[in-house]
Amino acid sequence: MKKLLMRRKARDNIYYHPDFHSALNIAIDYLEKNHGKSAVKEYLQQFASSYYNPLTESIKKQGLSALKKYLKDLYKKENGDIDIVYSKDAMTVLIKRCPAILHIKKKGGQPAKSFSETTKTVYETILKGTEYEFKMLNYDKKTGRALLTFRKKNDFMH
Amino acid sequence: MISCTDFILAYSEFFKFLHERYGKKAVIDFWNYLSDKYLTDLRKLVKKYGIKGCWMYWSKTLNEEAANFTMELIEEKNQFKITMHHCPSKSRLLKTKHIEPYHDYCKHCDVLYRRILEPLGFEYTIDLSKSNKARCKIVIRQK
Repeated sequence: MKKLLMRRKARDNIYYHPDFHSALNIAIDYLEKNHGKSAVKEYLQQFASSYYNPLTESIKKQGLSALKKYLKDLYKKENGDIDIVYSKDAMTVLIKRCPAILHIKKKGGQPAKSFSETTKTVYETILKGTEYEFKMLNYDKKTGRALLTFRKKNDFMH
Repeated sequence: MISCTDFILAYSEFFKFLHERYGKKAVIDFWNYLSDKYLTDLRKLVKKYGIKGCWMYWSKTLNEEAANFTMELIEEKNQFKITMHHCPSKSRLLKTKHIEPYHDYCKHCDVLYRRILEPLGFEYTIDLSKSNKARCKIVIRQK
């Protein structure tokens, strides 16, 4: 009798399942179509304020260096291509290639209309309550290429 | 961009958001929608290869998810079984102490896969009685 058996332990593989980008894209698209763009933003605010709270706290204590480290690790893990220009009070991040959008398209999907909110709303929320503000410039919906700026708010400048 | 390695947390929070705002039915409606849109590879493989399609599908996903599992295919019995010793998704949720997982998180595995497999002539059973320890068991048989 033909029998196939596969036994794997967690340490046998690296945790990296890029198709989760497609699943999140479907979720964002579903939320927007059924409950509107405001629901997408509210969901992402709720998620980011709870899940990324430790990152927000690190930014409060260490400044933008904590965010720089987070972004470098994130895009390295995802095989993304970014350039970072960093100073203590300001950081710009050029995302040349968005791994999520590349994967969604590779699988034959189209990024949801509000997909950019997974960057815009998420980083706005992460920085809430810190000395810094965030802006996303030149976002290209087709590739996810974007320029992100993080800078100290004027109120906090001395 | 939310990293695909953070997806499970985003997913669980998504279920919570839908449930809190629009009720349990909204969560089930979403799972049905996700099954139709997202599990297209599983449907194609099972349509083409029968029970072996299950083996092919989960060989890829469970390895990419670095799961701790045993998978078994007995083609002559048309039976496929996954014993999940430690689910990578649930264990991530349990490990992330600052986030409370969606109370019925594991149920999505019942709804999503059943919706694909039953119309293709398979019986799908899932034992979630130990899901609080990130363990479960799935058995798929051709009817």
